[in-house]
Amino acid sequence: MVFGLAVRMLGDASEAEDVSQTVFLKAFERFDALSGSDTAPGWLRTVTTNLCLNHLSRYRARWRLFSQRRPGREDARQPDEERIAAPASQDLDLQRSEEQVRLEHGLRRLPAHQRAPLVLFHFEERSYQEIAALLGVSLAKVKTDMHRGREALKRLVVTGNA
Amino acid sequence: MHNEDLESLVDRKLRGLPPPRAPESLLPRVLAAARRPARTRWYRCPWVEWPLACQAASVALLAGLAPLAPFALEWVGSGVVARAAGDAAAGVAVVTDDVTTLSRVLWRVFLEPTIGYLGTFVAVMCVAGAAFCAALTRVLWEGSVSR
Repeated sequence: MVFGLAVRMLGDASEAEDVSQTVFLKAFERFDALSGSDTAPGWLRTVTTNLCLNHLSRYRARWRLFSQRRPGREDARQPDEERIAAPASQDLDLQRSEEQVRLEHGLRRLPAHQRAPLVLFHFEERSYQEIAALLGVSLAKVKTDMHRGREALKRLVVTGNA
Repeated sequence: MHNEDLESLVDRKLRGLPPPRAPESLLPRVLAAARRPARTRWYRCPWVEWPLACQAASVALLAGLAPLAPFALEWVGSGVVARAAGDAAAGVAVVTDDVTTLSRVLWRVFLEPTIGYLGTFVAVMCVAGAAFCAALTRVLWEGSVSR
């Protein structure tokens, strides 16, 4: 659950491992309060989500600084697109159907501003308003980004091209 | 395709995805990190785990501040009352005035009359302690030599 959420939010298996480790260490520190508690899964999900969002915002800030230092760079793509250029397929089960593999890869290859709200909406069952508040952006931007992300995923499923 | 149709299509497809499996390396990594002793700063540890010097300093500080506790409580109470009155500026003025008065009263009542005695007492105790240590060292040293 923790790793699955993290890898879908971040789109990168190694970064998801780092975040998962942090989450489990935090849980270990609060073992007495969490063990046997019904709120433990919710706590894990919330902490994972928040850490992933922090990670994404830090990465975005670093990329902005980097791109400001080299303003003339032609291939200044979105940071998340650069970061996930290499397919993270090691952790994917080979037994899945081709479409599921394509979809999982496609989700991870989406830019973070499209991927994160999609994951929060479809897997974490958050509302649009909650997602906008979590990401600190307007409701309209969330809807636009999610629509574009869904379009990309649909193209991927239907035609096999993102 | 309408937004709602697209949303439900993607929702169905995404929910049909099996959860990603964590890599085998994650569990040993977490266990190793959990076994590693945490490098917490001394002031975040329980008091009994503080360095000896910090423990001694904290005890000395508390002993020094203990006589001020009743005055501090009274001062905090007056500050709260002033804030509750809704006039922040007046509250700040009252608190500042209280602090000044409290300091003056403490100095005149407690410290000024006794500062000479306290200084003398501390000096005498230091001398006595040094003499005791010197005597103890000499006795122990001579005892070990005679053996």
